[in-house]
Amino acid sequence: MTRSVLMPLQRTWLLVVGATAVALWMREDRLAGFTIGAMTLAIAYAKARLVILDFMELRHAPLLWRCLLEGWLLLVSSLIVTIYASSGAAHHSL
Amino acid sequence: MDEKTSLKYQMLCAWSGPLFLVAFIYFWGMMGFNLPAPPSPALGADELAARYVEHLGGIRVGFLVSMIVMTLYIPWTAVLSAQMMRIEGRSPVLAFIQLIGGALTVPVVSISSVFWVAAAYRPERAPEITQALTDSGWLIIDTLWACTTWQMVAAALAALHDKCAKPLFPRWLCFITIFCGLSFAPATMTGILKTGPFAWDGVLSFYFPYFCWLLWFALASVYMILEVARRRQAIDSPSPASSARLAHA
Amino acid sequence: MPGQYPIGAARTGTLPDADALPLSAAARSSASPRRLPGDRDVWIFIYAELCAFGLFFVAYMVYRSDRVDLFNASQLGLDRSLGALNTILLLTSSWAVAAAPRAARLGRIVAVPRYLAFGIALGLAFMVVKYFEYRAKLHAGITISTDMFYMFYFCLTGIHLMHVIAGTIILIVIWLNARARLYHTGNTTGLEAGASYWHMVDLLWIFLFALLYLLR
Repeated sequence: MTRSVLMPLQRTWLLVVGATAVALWMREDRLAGFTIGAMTLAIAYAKARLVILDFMELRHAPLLWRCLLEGWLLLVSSLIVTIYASSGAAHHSL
Repeated sequence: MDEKTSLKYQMLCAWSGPLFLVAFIYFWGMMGFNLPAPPSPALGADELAARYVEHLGGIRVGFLVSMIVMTLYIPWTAVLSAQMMRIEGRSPVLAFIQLIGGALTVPVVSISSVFWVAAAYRPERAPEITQALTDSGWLIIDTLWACTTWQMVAAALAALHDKCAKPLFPRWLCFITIFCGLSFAPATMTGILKTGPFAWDGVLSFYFPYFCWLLWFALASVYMILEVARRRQAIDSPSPASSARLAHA
Repeated sequence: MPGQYPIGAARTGTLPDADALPLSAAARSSASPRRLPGDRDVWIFIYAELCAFGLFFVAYMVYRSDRVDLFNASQLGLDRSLGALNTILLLTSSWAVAAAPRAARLGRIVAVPRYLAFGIALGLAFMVVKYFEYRAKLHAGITISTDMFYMFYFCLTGIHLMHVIAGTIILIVIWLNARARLYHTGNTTGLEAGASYWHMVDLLWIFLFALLYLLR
C-alpha cells in the first residue's frame, strides 16, 4: 500500500523527466521555428501542471487553491505563448 | 502620561502612515515627475538636462516637499516599534531592528531627493554634472533598500508571534510583508544596468518594488490604526468583548 | 489524519505495514475532504513569489520580442546540457521532497529525513552546477552587461538561485526537525509548508529552462 501511494509520485517523476527529454530531443534536431517553440512551451506547461498537481499535492486541495495555481499557470503560459507568437523573427527556420 | 493620552499620540503617529502615502505619491511621484516614469538612465546628458529645464518648478517643489514628507516615516516607525515592544516584552530586539531600519529609510529616500534638487539647482551648468547628480540620487534610493527590508522582516517576525486574540497583523500579512521586503532585491541591479527591466526606470527595479513597498505600508497602516483604536476603545468603554480581543489567545 | 494510528506506533516509528490496517491512510485520504497541504499563509507567500516571477517571465518575453535575432544568437552560447542537468536535478529533488510528507502521513517516520536529505543533496548539486556554468561564462568574458539576453540570463537565474539557496535552507530546517521525529501522521504542516516552497522553486526553473535555454 505504501508503494502504491508513492507510485503516482514515481509516475509523475517519469512523466516530467520524460517530457524534459522530449523537449531536449526537439532541440537536438536543430529545428527552429514557431511549431517547435510552441511545443516547447506546451511541454513546459505540462511539466509545471504535474508539479502543481502531484508534487504540490493540489490535485486534492480545495478548489480555490487548485484554481489559483492552475490559473496562474494558464495565465503566464498564455501570455508567454502570445508574446512568442507575435515576436518578430519567430517564424523563421534555421 | 496616562494611557489615554499616550494612545492619542499613538493614533496620531499611526495616521502619519496614510498621510505619508498620499503626500509621497503626490510630491515625489507626480510633482517630481517620477510618475508615470522616472528619467531613463539611458538618456543622454543633454536630454536629461533639458528634462530638468522643462519641469523645473515641479521637480524643485516636488522633491523639496517630499523631503519633509519623508519624515512622516519617523512617527510611523515609532508607533510600530511601540506595538512590537508590547508583543516582544523585555528585550525587544525585533522592535529595535525595525526602528533602526525605519529610521534609516528616511535619509535613504530624502537624501536621494537632495541630489535631484541639487541637479535642478543650476540648470545652466554642464549637463554631465547634472547627470552625475541624477545618477547619484537614483543609486542611493535603489541600492540602499536593505535597511527597509530589515524593518519589514523584523515587523513581520514580531507580528507572527503576537498571541493576542486579535493580533497586530493577520498572519497572511506577515508573510506578504516578508515578500514585499524581499521584492526590493533586484533593484541592486540599478547600480550596473542602464536599460531593461532592472534599470532604475524598469518594471522590476521601479514599478514592482515601489508598488510592493507602498502596498505593504498601506496595509500595515490600516492594521496599526485598528490596533490603536482597539486599545482606545478598551480604555474608553471597557467591556468583556474589548478586553477579550486584547487578551492572549 | 490524526487519530488513525495508535499514537505510540507513530512516535516510535514502528508501524505495522499499512496493508494490515483496516483502512489505510491512503485509502482514507483519497475519500476524505479536500485539504490544502501545509500552511495557507505560506501558500499566499508562494503565490506572491509566483506572481513576481510571472512578471519576470513576461518581461523576458517582451524584451525578447524586440530583439529576437539577438536573443536567438546569444542563446546558442548557453550550455544546454548543464541546463538540462539542472532541470533533472530539481525535478528529482522535488520528487524526493514530495515523498517526505507522504511518508510522514503514513507514519514512516524514519523515511522522512532520508527523502529530505536526498532532496537537499540534489539542491546542493544544482548550486554546484550553476557555479560551474557561471564560471564558464565569466571566463569566456560574458557578463551581465554583455547584451540584453545575457542580462536576463544572469539576473533571472541569479534571482532563482537565491531562491534555491533559501529553499535549501528551509529544507535543512525541516530535515533537522524530521530527524528529531517531529513529523508524523498528525503533524505534517511544517513539513508540507517547507516542501511546497521547494516545489515552487522547481516550478520556476521549469519555465526558466524553457525560456532561456530552449525557446527560439
